[in-house]
Amino acid sequence: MAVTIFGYSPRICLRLTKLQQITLNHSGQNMISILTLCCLLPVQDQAGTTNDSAALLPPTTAVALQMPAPVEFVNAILEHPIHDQIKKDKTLGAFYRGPGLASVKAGVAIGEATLKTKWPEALKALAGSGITLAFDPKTNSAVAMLKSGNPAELKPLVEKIIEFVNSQRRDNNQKEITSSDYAGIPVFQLDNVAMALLPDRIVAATDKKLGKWILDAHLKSPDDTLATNKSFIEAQSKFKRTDSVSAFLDLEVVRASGGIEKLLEGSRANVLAEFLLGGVLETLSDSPFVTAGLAVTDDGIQLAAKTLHDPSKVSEPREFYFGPNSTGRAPVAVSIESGIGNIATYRDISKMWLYAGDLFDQKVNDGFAEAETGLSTLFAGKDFAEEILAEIKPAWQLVIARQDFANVLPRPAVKFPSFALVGEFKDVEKMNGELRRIYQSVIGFFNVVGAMEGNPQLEQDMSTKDGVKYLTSSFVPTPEEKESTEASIHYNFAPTLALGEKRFALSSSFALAEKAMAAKPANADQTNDANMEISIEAASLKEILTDNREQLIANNMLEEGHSRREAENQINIILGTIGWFKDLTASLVPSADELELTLQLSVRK
Amino acid sequence: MPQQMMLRPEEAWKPFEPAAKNWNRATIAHFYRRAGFGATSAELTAGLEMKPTELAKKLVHESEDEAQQTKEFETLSRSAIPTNNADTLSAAWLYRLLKTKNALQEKMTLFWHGHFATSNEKVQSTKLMHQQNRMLRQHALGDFKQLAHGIAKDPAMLLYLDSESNRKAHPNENFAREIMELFVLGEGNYTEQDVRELARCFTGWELRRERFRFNRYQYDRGEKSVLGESGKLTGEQGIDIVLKQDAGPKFIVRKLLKYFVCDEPELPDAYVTPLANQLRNDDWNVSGVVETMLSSRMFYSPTAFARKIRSPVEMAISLVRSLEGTCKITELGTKLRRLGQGLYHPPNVKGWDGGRTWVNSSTLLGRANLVRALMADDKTKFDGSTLENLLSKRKAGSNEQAVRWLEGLLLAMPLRGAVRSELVDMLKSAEGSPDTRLRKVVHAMSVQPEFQLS
Repeated sequence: MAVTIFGYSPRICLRLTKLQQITLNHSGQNMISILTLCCLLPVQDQAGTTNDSAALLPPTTAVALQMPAPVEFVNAILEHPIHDQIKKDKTLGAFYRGPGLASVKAGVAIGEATLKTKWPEALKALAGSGITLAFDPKTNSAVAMLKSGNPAELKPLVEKIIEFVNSQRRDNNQKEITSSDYAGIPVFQLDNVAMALLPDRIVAATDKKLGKWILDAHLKSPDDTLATNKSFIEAQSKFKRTDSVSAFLDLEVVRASGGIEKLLEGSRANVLAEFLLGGVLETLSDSPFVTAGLAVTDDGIQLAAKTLHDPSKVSEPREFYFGPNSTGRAPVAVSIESGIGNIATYRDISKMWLYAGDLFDQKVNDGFAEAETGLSTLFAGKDFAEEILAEIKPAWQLVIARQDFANVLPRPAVKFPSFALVGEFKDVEKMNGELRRIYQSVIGFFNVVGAMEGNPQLEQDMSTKDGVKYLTSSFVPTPEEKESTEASIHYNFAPTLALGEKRFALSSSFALAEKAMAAKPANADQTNDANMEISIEAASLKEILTDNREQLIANNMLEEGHSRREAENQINIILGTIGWFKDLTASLVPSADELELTLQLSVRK
Repeated sequence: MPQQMMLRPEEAWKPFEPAAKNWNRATIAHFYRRAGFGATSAELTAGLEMKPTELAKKLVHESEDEAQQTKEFETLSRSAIPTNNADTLSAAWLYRLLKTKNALQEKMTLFWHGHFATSNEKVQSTKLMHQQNRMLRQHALGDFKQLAHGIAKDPAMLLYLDSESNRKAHPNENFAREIMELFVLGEGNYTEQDVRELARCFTGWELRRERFRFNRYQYDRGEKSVLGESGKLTGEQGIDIVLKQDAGPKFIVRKLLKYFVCDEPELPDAYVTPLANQLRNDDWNVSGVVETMLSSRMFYSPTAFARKIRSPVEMAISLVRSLEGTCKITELGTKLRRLGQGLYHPPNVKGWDGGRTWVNSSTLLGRANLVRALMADDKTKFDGSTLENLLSKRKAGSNEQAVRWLEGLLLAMPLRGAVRSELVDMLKSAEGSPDTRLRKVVHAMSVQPEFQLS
């Protein structure tokens, strides 16, 4: 598949490949000229598609989704390496080995015979030059526009399809598609959906008013359309030419419907939502639009969404999220052996805690007050927000890793990953001493509570390695669980505090604390542009799920009422599917004028 | 049931030897509803080839689950322990009730769970509740003496009765009272003095680290007098004295009769005594007396037919089992708890009262809603497929046949003609696919009074 060459869509790459053949005998200068021309071709092509569809849509359009090259997109999906993996998969590949594929092929063959054309040609004739989907809140209606890649073939093909559909509906005693015309334009109607056939495209709308508006726009070329909408024009500059699908969302409309306010309301009641998305939601409450682009390549799928962001407009409470003047940056994520995931972020938790009254609703604030009382007791009477959290630099990361219990006894029946909070103190000397004492009292507290509940006790230890002081505690096995391979979940944990010269790690296991303190970014001078980066490693995730396979099967049997074989199949599908992927990453990058959220799902090759 | 229609006591427990016409799918379905949790169509057909005594014998003695299946049940239950998840533990038992071949053993385990009622609401340990459940199952159709001794030292029971410690200075009377009042003898068969003295026998019985421990330093070595026997009695000896009383077998037999034969009327002593004598003669081995009950004339008489109200667990499990079904089990467990019969969550130390207490305006609605939810859920499958396919496979394809087939499996007594016609009409003309209509018919059956009976 040629999708990734120079990052252009397959269709463009095909052109590029042909041109490369031509240029083989040309001088370097000519070659550059032709390559430049190649680079321009898609720009004109896609922009043209975008503009001429947008010119037919009303200015009140709130959502517009565009796929400039559907044929190539379908090919990219069908020829994607992951498709081969699915075919080879024992469970999921059954479709390709069983009657499923044969019936799909038979269906396609019937379709091709009816239309007297092969499906790629049919798709090209119907939508070869792009598909646009849009929603207009004014008429509460959706519209689909399919721009033909072969306009000469469009009309006969559509007529054949309508004839075929009508014959089927006649056989089933169903209402047929009716046809009429509007100012010479053929119009077809079925229930509430109206479809019009323009010389080069099909327009289908779920509401007559919107359909009429579009046909009038085609006839009269009005001045005020989506294409002249200021936000849309600005949004277009954000589209990447390599995107297989791009989207535009008019935030004014979403705001008018109260959508953003609802989301903000939700984050006021949910600390995690505020922590992850609070800043984004605030940005959306001010920005005019969001654009998004989906790119499918051999490496995977990337979804990038952008919106305008003005650092000067960030409210004071949400400085915890973006940092002063939106300069807060996440630390460079450390790489850990058997790491499942990493969240590296800039979040000033102390500020979030202190601004809780502005950020959260009453219920959450009550929870904060209650937690503060408990935590102050646990932290030797210190003010948790101002004397503990405030001492931690706001750039920190949470590392999650699989634990290896292969040669460990007691071995917990349910194997949890270990996790470690890695950060830096503002005043290392002061906090190292404080934390040592606090660690001891917290472990003592756990032991008292644990004893009351009949849980095993924690035993403390201390060691130093490479200048890092480790305070660790591990559960002393009860006699009955000493040799157990199905021990309680307690044995997943060995709470550890690692104190280095600069960094510290608070970890659920000693092994991870050690790894986290030893791990360093590949490049000491490396910096991070992101405010937050999240990554999940598929291989380690699969491993930990495999470690807990029996538990997952048991859960599936009880939740779904499956037999063991059915449950095993489902779990195998989940594990198999995870195995196709390499990793999932998400990053949130603020700059002086925009905020970009990127999700990348990479496939394993 | 009018008294005059009841069999005479000397006839009641004789084996039921029906004429061929009286041994039919309806009588076999009655057997399976009581002795287990309903029967599939195939089980009913197979039952026709056996005599009532053979059927009872098969269920009491010859219905073991395969080792692999038993291991599977155990694995599922144990999966609740690491996370101490009570819902999972309850679901694991429901899964077993749905899949086991040894339905009578499970029915008896449920009986003992209600008899030696212990709730995880208080115990808060899936490990200990599972441990107790295993013991109840182990002795479910065995020696009641061992069960009584086992439960006396069972950590979950001791926690439930606040009997983690029992010091000679302040004997804890909880277990002593319950073993006489609720577990073995019944009210009126002991005195307060007996309770105090038996409590002294149990001094030194403690719970440490979730295990029973005898603390000899807290044991009262003095003379005690329990139910007319005196000596330096230990806890074990105290239990043996209680088990020796004549009231014991009668008390247990009465409860078993109520569980297997009829809620009402309470059978007079003349009916109870022969079975109590059998239990005494069998040295408290329960299987004999259960076999006698399940193969008796009384069991198949009008005194027993459709004379019990199904508990929520019986109702739901019978429905799904009879239709060879599977469903979302954890969710089912939660709903059963709302209907008053959460497994591992009996309401109090007396267990579930049963009988008419199962139904009132609120629970009737709840029961119908439970069936509706089961039937509306795509995850509820029948022999791995749709209800329509199941009925088709079982040769109940026409609307009339379908209603008759479902009626025979799900109801303890025939539907009234008008209701049956309405259901047939519903299959013809209700909205939705044939499968949806069949599911609606099952739901419609569940709101009939007949559906509540066993």
